[in-house]
Amino acid sequence: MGDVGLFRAEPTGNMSRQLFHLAFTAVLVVGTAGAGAQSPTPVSGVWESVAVPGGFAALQQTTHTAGTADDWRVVPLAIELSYTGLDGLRTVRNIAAYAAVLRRLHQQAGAVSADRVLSLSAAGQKRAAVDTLLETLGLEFDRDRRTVKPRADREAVERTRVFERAGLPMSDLADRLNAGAAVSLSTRDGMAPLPLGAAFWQERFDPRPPPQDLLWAILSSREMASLYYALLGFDEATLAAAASNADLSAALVRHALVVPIVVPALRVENGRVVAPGGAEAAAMWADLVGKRLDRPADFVNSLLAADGGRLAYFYRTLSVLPHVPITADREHLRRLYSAFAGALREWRPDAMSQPPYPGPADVLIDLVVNADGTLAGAPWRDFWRRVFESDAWPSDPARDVAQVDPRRLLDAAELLTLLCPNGCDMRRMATFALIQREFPQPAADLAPTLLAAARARLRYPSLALEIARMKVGDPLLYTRLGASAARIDGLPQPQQAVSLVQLQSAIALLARLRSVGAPAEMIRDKVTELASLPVSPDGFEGGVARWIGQLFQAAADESVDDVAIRSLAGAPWLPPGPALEWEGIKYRVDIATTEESRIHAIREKFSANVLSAATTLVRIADTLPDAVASGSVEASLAVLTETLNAADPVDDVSWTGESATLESFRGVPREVTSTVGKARPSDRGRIERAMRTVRAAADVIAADALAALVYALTIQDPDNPFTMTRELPRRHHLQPEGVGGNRVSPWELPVERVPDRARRYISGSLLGLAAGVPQLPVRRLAAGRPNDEPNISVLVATELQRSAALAAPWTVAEEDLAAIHAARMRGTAILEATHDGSSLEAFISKAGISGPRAGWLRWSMGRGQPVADLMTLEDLVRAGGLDKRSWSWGVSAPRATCLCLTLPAVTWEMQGMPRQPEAAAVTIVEPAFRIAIEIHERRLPAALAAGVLALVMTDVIERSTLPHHSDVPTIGRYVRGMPPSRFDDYIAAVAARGPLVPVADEAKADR
Amino acid sequence: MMTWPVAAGVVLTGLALVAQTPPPKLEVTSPLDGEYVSGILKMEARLVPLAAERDISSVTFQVEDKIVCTVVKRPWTCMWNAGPAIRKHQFRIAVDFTNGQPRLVKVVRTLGVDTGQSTGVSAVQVTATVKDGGGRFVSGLRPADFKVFEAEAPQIITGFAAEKAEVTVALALDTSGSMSQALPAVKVQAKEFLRLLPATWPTPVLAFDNSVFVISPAGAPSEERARTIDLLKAWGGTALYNAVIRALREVEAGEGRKAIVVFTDGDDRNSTVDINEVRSAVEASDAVVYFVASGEAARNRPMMRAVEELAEISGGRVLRVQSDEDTQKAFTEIREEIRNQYLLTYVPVRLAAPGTRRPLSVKVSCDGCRVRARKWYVVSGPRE
Repeated sequence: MGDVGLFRAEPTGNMSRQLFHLAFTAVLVVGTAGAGAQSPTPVSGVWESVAVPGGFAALQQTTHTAGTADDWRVVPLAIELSYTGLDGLRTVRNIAAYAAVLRRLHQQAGAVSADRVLSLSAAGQKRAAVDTLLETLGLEFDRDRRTVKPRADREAVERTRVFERAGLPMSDLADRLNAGAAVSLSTRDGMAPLPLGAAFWQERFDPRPPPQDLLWAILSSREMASLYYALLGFDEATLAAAASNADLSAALVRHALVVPIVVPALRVENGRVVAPGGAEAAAMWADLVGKRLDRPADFVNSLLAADGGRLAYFYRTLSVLPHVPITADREHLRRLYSAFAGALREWRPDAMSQPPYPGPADVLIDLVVNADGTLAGAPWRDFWRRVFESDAWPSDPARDVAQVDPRRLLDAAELLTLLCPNGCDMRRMATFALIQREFPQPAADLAPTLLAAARARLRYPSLALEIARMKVGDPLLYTRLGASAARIDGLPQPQQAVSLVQLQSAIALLARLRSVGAPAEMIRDKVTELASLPVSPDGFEGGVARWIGQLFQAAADESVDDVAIRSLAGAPWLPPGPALEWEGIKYRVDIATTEESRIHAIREKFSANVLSAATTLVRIADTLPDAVASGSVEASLAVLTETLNAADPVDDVSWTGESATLESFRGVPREVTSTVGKARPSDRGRIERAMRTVRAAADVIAADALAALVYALTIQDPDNPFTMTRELPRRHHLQPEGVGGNRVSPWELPVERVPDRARRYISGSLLGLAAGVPQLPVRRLAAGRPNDEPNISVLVATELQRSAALAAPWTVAEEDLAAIHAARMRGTAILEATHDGSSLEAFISKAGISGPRAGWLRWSMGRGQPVADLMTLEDLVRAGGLDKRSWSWGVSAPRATCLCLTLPAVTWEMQGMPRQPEAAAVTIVEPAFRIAIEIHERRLPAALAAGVLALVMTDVIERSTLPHHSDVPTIGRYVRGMPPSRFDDYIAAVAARGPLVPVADEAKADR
Repeated sequence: MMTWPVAAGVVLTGLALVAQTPPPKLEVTSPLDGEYVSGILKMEARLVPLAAERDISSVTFQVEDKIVCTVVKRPWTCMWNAGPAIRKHQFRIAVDFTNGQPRLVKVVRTLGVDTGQSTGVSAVQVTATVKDGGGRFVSGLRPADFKVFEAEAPQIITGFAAEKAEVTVALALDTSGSMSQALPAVKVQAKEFLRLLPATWPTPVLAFDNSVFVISPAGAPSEERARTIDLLKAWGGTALYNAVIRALREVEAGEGRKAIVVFTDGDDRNSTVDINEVRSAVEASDAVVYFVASGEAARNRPMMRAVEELAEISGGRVLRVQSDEDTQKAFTEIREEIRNQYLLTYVPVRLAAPGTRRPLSVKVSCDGCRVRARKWYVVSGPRE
């Protein structure tokens, strides 16, 4: 059984086992939302309400989370900030102080009048009581004049703000009192759900807090706050079980800090734990936990206690896997858990700390499994050991994998060990993900090629990502281009930098051509040609320039550059679309025309040489022997001189990591003239020396021109601050720099560097430029400056921008937008039919809602309150059903594992809250869904969606006021709250800059 | 008191009138469809009938893909700098209403001119500040009082604007995080500086942190300009060099004299351009550059040297300030200097290749007078 793992790549010959395997998969698929194949039966009586004294707005003010959050989010967020944030102690203290002052206010107001009404006339009779009340209210009493005025000290000002948000009329309180009015001091309290009821919670404290103070008591205790947070995510049957089973509830209380980890996987129904994987998995779980499932209290106690909460996290992780089957083999599950826990050695789950990112849960969630339940990608154990042995480029991949036995299959435990040798290794995870995605079911004889692809991902990550993005379907491209990159590795400087710029830029151009519709065969051939170019110690020696001349063949009356830009804009493959009318103007979709003018406009902003100079030079060099032989060398030298005199000196270039002059070109014509001006055909050495000199100049000019073109393809907005400098492409660093996690090599996705007292530059690869530095393609709708500093996390902002950077007008499929729209319609219909606990549970299950919001929904439904406002677009779309696996629209893949857009397999809530900002960011699909719906409802082409996404993301980053710098729900709320007219503005902006072109003579009168 | 049937009748009549009233029409009076535009442009919209304007909640002016103004009260106008060239533009004006009426939108497209390659010879403009021995500005000078030398060769002054002529003045304010203490006072002084300039002078206002924004375009009403300045808050980094280049671009479209005034309290940290590029931009511009440096900026010697060089190239200067009073005084000095400058124009006697740096000097026939002007310029135009 050693080779029978979590995944199967081949039939075992045991059909019944295979069928069982598939059936098991199906059970788990249905159980994705943690609710199992059947939604739990709702049980009434497990929810009560708890007062939020002063209401949600005041609590937000108190916790300094003053952005716009939904009510449901306020209490959970206060808990997250108190017990998982860096500044938690301050939050806890603030809440305690607020509770105390509110309590004092209520007591003092009650002492002044039973109905908590204050007037200055009462000051005569209840002088002391009024005095203390006024002080609490931040007012100063002038006893002689019998008037009050607001105090100006900081504490009073802060308190006034909080009271104002709690519903007290603080802005004119002094005026009203001075005018003799009687002012009510009743606060505007809120209500929040209280799972298991007040009695359960009151018993946890000594002395028992009164109902008005219960929430404060819960929030002031790390354990109870944690338990409250967790219980909000329990379904009603499980809550009912906890309510009726004292041992179970005691176990939950005992391990309160761990319970949030297991939500919502922990389900108890009919006196039995419903474990992930359904009935077939029950025995395995009982074995692993060491307790029977029909003894819920024992089971839960052991589950939560084991390894400080790691087993609970494992349990929860397996419950949310979208499509990974679990073997029925107990031993394998044990080994898998052992590997899982081993990857989490440093984590303190019982301290409410966030699980590491990326961690073993991410490995399992991101895994791709074939429809038959087998592991996608290369499933061979020895193969992966080989892959991760080294990151050297394999000179002979076939030899390296000769010992790989395709019958020895990788199981999940081994996979975790391989990917998380010392904590989870992002590079290894990305490498595994690439092979999974690109080679879902490879034959064993493809192992050498896959080894090259995997090593390419490890050693030349941006190269592997671009090859994958090209979708050419030839795995040998990894081998060929990887070998080409390896040849450059050993070159001296500056030849290495010049060659790197040429190779990377040339690949970037091919990727772009493929993206705008160039046929796969053409791209495959051109890649093969490029990869075959010889690399000498001097570099490409004009090879890339020659290749460019052949790729973009220009007629007599046009330049190579114009042909290149026209091709890169997609002119040969993106014909104009049909006409449409928008805001009274007739347009047609013409991506190629608008792209062509955009690329030209951006390209002109850079002081770089042109491709035609490089192709001219290499032509001169190539024909020099003939020119000498035919006596026409003077004509060649004249063209050479003219070309180089017109060339822009490449005299401040940082490709090597230091500012340097690569070539001023001044001496080249003279040198070449003196070498071959009077040469005879037999002077082969002199002629070749002259050819090398000219080709070296061609290399530098080609690199200069290509880098500028790559930047021009990437930057979308001519007003982008990066275009202020004409030198940006020349400042690109292609040398390893930085340390630790900040280290970037020339093949790593690029990053922006902002050094102290020096100019900003971009470091890393020229491939994946938009994905690596998504600030380059960013677009803004508002010309003005936001008045307030955006408080969104930089990591979240970068991920949002990356999603926009990966979208292009020609990549977004109409059917994807239509599918999202249709799913939203279906989801809305389902929601409209949701009228009781059962139907709500079904909706929650389908939509993948989890955590505190799920509890709020159940509580609201139980109180007869509407639940629609608590739903997100993602809820509706997911509930409506999205059955595709491949999307052209959505969010960037986690950890940039592909240069593509995707829809996250698991919702943010199902991944567990809270999570690290970068993990949270790649689950924010509300902008993508909203745009899909807005575009589709207006019957506009999908080509507009990419531009709109870029504008929306900038607004989200700059204008959403978040209560916390990476608060996913509030980002979604901001997007849902955008008025439709704002989308009209976005669309108009996109229409003005392409991909729409006005059909000028058909313009209509105003709307 | 109205009886029920009468009241109901009035309501019904009112409803009928509402139902019959045609929706208002949005008219864009500037720019017009098919027009050619360049330079500083006023966009203007109105509703027909005019009475419908009382229900407007906002008018949004969009040029190309940017919203440049959102106006919430009359006049429904927005200033925008179209730049010196006549290019195609798309203007979109959207009117939103308070009464739930559907939004009105109008799109106007202006035309562009393909000017091709310029073959004309560019005139050179030199701004000169003249002070007497006591440091007072000298007014009333005539063209004949000046002599301009390019590479020591005397030039013929073909254009002359005296101290009262219009100046395009861009004011760029540092709003980086370090300005949080100083910004309230700087806002007051900046508004005062602008208020005391002639109302007809184009005065774009920029703010810069990590990025640079034109917060008030040239020609914006002074009240609106002041309101926009009041809204500024301090946060972010300092893209000083980007701000200089952007301010130079903003005054580029103006005619006659040009100046930029940059207030900063910190070293450049977030620009995409470096000092060499800024120097090139200053050399290629006619504008006089002033810096008001406070706080860390005034104490930072390398930075001071850099901005002093930029100012000197342009004929401007750097004023260091340490207090609110100093700042007020600095703004006053600059304002007075700008008001009292002369603009001398000549066409070079000897043509130099584009990109060439040409030394300049200005002399004035006025006893004891000192003249300050830029020291050289860079010949513009495409390189051969």
